[in-house]
Amino acid sequence: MRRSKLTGGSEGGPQTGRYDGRFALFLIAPAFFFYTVFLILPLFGTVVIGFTDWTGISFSTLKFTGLENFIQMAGDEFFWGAFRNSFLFVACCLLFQVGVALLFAIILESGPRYARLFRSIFFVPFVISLVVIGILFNFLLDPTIGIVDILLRAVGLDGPRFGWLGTTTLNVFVVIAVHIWRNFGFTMFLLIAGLQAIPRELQESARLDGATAWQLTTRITIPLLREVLVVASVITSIDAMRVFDLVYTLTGGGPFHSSETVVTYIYQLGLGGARTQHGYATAIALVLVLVIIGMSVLQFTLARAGRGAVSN
Amino acid sequence: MVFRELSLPVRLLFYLFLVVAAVSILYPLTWMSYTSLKTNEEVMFSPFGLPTRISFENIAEAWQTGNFARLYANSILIAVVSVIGIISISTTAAYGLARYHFAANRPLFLYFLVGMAVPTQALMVPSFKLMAILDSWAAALHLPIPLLNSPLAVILTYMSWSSLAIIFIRAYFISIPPELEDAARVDGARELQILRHVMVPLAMPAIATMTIFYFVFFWNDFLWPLIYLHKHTLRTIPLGIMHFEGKYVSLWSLQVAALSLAAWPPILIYILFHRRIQRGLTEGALKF
Repeated sequence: MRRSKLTGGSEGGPQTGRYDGRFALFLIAPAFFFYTVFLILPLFGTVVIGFTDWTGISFSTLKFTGLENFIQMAGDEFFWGAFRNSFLFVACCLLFQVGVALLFAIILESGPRYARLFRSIFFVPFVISLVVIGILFNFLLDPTIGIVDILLRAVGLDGPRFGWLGTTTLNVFVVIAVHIWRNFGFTMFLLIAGLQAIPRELQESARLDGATAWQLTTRITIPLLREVLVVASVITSIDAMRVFDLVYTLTGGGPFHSSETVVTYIYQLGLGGARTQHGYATAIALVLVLVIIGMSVLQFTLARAGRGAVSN
Repeated sequence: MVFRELSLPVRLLFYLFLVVAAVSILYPLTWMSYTSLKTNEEVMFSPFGLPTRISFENIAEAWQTGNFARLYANSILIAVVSVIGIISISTTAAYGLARYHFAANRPLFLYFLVGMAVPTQALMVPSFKLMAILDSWAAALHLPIPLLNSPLAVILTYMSWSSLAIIFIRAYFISIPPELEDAARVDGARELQILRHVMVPLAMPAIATMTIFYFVFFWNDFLWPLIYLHKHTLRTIPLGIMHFEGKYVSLWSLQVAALSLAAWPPILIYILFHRRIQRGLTEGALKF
């Protein structure tokens, strides 16, 4: 589905149309210009600057240092901490965001009352700015005025002393939970689109053959949904891998870098702090690009291998 | 699976899931909304109670002190100009790639495809430096186009994210039967006229989807305004809200009012156009 959709079903480009290449180039030129100057050029910049010790004052201070930045990474505990948190983000979101979204997609598509209303409610947080959501949850999770701790105290329990976001162990999971709260409705919509594409007859005939709802869901619906599930998983993990706004507004990466993710660490090293290390920050950005591409390729490959196993 | 054929306990369990999830979504937003309509005293004495009388004092004050008129003007300027820009250049490029045979067609398409794999956040340092360099060139040439501390820097960066729109709209153009254009051509229409009066109206569903997709994205984006805009007069809504929080830490009733001011316009637009918005964002992402 993915490949044919991307290319509009015609691998070789236009099947009909005209041959006036100059006019076509005139149509393409503006997009080509902006894309090349403001995306491809910085991408090249990332590759080049990542191998320098540039501190960003002027180009004259720039020196190629080979793999030094990457060696520095190996011994940088904050780098490993940031990557560990980002991978934790990816793992939790794959498990819970996609899981919860799948559960609700299947429930809502089976036709309970008010399905459309529930669907629309679940999507609401997705249209609100992450900064607004981050600050709002700062209030809800506050140790003195937040509803979460007040409810806990009401049943005789105590939240962490410096608040959920003030711990160095739980804080990442709290940020992940808020991220999932915001995004699962969107993932659910992707899966609903997939469910609606499944031909009704298949489920109908299995139902007439006496399949239970559980068998119907696990043996027919979910296997037929796998392509959309893969796309949803890739989108979910890319989103989780490059999370920035929520971390920045909820914890700022702290306390003591305990909730730093890769993008907040790059920002802090490259642009946020007083002493900027452009070379090193960019080298980490380069690793991020490769990790995200690798992660997507891996998921699509696994899906393809899985499909092969099923059809054999 | 058909809902009404499930056993009663299962149905009740599913309804419980749905209601719990809906409450978890609606409660924070409702709390935010009614808290911003309370007086300061009421916020202090009963932080979770409903307001006994509706007061707009915090909303009005947040609008003033947060300079929301300016924040909205800045956000609208950046989002609208960027969306119009990117949709125009992507539509023409998509048409060129969808309907013209020339040697560079395939390589160009693959070239635009690269952008789909690049996480733009990773480009922040070189992008910022590029703007600084272009800004100094413009200054040296006495050109009145500032790129440091200028919304133009944000807009130019956004306009480079055209890959998705080009791929999406191109696929739609390819699905339109060529006879419609050929008929217009026989009638003597010029190429650009055909694009404007025949093809763009036909491709409107795809163009509308992309417009919604990019608008929501640009409107909510926080990182790039944070990188480029350091003057308080240039702040967009997410940036303004962020600084508002830092400035009025103890006045949290005022802060909540500011959150409402930022959240409610998008929510209202969503309520009005929820079908289109849901479809736009989902279809745009599935093309990925």
